[in-house]
Amino acid sequence: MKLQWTPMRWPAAWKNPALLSLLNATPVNCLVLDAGADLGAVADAAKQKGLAVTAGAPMGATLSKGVWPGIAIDTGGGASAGPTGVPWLDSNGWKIRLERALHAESECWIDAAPKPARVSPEAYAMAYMDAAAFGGRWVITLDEGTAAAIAGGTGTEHWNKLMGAARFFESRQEWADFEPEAVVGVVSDFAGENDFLGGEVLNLLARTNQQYRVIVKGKSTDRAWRGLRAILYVDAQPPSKELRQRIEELVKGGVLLIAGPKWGTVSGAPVRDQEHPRYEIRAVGKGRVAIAKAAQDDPYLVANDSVVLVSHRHDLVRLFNAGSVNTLLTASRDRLSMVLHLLFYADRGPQDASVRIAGKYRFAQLRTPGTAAPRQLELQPSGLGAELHLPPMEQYAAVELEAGGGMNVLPIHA
Amino acid sequence: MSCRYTRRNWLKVAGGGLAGAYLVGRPSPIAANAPATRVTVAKCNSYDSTELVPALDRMFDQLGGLGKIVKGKTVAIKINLTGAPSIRLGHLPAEDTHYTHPHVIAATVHLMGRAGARRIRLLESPWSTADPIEEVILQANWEPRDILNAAANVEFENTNYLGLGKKYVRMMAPQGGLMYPGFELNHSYADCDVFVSLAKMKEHDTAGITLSMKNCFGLTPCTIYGTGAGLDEPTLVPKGGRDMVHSGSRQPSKIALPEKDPSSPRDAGYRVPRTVVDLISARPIDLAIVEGIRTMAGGEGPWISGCTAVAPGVIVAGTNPVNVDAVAMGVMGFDPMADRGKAPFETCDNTLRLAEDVGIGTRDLKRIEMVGMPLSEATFNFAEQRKQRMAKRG
Repeated sequence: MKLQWTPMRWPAAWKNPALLSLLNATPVNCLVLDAGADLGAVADAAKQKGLAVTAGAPMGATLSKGVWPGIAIDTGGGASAGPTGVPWLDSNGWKIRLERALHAESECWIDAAPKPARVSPEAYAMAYMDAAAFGGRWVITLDEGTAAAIAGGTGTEHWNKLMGAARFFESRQEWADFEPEAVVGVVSDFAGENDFLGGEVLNLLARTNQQYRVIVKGKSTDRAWRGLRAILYVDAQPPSKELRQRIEELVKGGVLLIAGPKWGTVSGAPVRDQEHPRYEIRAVGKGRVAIAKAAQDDPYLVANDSVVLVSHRHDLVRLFNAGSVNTLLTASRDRLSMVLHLLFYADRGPQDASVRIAGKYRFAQLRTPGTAAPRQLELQPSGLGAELHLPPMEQYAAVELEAGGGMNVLPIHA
Repeated sequence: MSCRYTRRNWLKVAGGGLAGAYLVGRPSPIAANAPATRVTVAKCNSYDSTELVPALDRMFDQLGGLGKIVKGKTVAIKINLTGAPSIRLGHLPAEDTHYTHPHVIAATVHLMGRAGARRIRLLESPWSTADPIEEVILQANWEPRDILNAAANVEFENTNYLGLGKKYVRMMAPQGGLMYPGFELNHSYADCDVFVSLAKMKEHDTAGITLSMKNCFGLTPCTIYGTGAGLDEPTLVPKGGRDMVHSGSRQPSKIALPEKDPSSPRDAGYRVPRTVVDLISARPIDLAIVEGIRTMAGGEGPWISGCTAVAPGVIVAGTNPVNVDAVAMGVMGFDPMADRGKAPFETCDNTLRLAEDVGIGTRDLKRIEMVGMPLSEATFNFAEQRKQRMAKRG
């Protein structure tokens, strides 16, 4: 789906229509004007320039409340950390992926205001890329100080960095059609009492760099189930008869099902060498079923347990020296091309980072915003995958891969 | 097997007031009689099994045969997987710089199995996780099956938390301890007949060097001794490192014994070496192996700035950890007799001296029988590199 819009919330203080010239030769084509901002002259001029003007998301787009992406800072000024001491990341990636699964025909816009403590040029570029890498669009929103600086001609670095990110993704629209490669499919209706757990599991799975696919009950296509090693059934209610049947077939073929106690009775023998403090594991056909001993109410545990239950053996992506990172591995529909999106949330990009990607490839190159030509990467064999040593980067990089020998890049497991 | 220490010796030392003083000057009287055993040194330039397995095999023969140590026994091997598996020195795999190499682990396991070990348990307390060790090493691109299949009855256990045990095991330092009188540890350290430290040859930012003894710092579970440990009860999963042991910022969870003297220095260079000695007193090392085929100079992990990858191509082994570490220090170009203030102990006490003073073993190279490759031929001069590094830093 080609994304039609690159939206920007027009700053209330930018009352001079002449400032619209900033948008010349940029992808911004839709202005979001806040009610009561007294921007009538700007709106008229914008329409004359062929820009769309709206007060919210237009037809064909959904607007979701998001977060200002970055490493979460606690009240003491340090990085806020999760249960194992790994810093929390604020990212809209999971939310965009969920919205896209829920509303496949709509563009997903993220509404997130800048955090006063983090308004560097890099932070603005990251806000854009954090949405765009996952196939969504951040409604560009400037804080008052940055807006004043840009209008006054001293905020050029902010503006250029932000528009550089926007241009980068605008010129690679085809990536938005690539489909997520996944080890685990997260199945839920993501609604009602399952809304919180389902969403947070997606958020926290992303933090583990486990590649997942969102499978919305009643809305999934057959393609959504392909290649999965595991299915994580999140909902507190048992599945429908049809869904149970579908998942049980996959389990018999070798897939692992992870579910809460409400899944119901599971046939099959206990797996003796796989004792787990929170799950009963049974062998069913060629696969396994792991049923939680108690209700799954802690998304952190659900996400992290699932990674270990599935096993890092099946990691599609492993990163080294990457710091606080978010990843998304996607493939073209013919699965001959892949793109690995890498987002680095620290103030400085990583040095000496490496990535190991499962599969066989004949070619790899790195693209970054602000660099015209891609940089070819040497593929180094690493078990059933390839390792790439990455050059120093800023906050975002895309690794483009081509499958080796005309084969699909990854083996289809199920 | 390692020396066993008499109660009388421990009491003599404990009464010597060692715990409260920084170490300079005259060694304790017991040091002169600390055990001296044979240590073997081998040159081994690669991790290729055709070179590595015969080299280790020969070394164990030189120590009197591995069967004598492990036959019919449950063997626990503490390996070194310091830091998260996602952290590397440059682009180098962790095993080429700061982790015990999996080929050395597999070769040791293989030889122990062949020598009749009944059960072999590979132990480590990996960074900030209760995940199985197999899952940790998969993230370093290792294949656990290469190690698990190297002998019969091989298993891993993560000892950074309660693990597979029903409760923590209290293990006491027989001499009363220099810093801690005893420790609450994962059951694996008690449920074994033979304890092996399979370490990497490295310098250490806090303790000067990390060899077979310092490798055992990781015996302590972070659920009790870690940053996020519970005040009263251990946490279910470990969080962060062992800052409380380094800095003395707090006491361990109340189920464990507190440190002996909360008024003692809060200096990590004082505390860490003493804690290491307490740990290897509480859980004596029966076989010490220090792997320095490929490693790093300048610190224990990539997080220490200025470190470089090096390839000394050497392995040191013996049944007494102080003797082994003394020889390993010699290989590294350091003087194991050095006191605080001299390299590599510029800002810390010498762990070897503390261990010698409580009678675990001598660090005096003149008293240690060395077999295999002569020290002069095995030397890889970490000391010179350290000098240059420090001069650069000013």
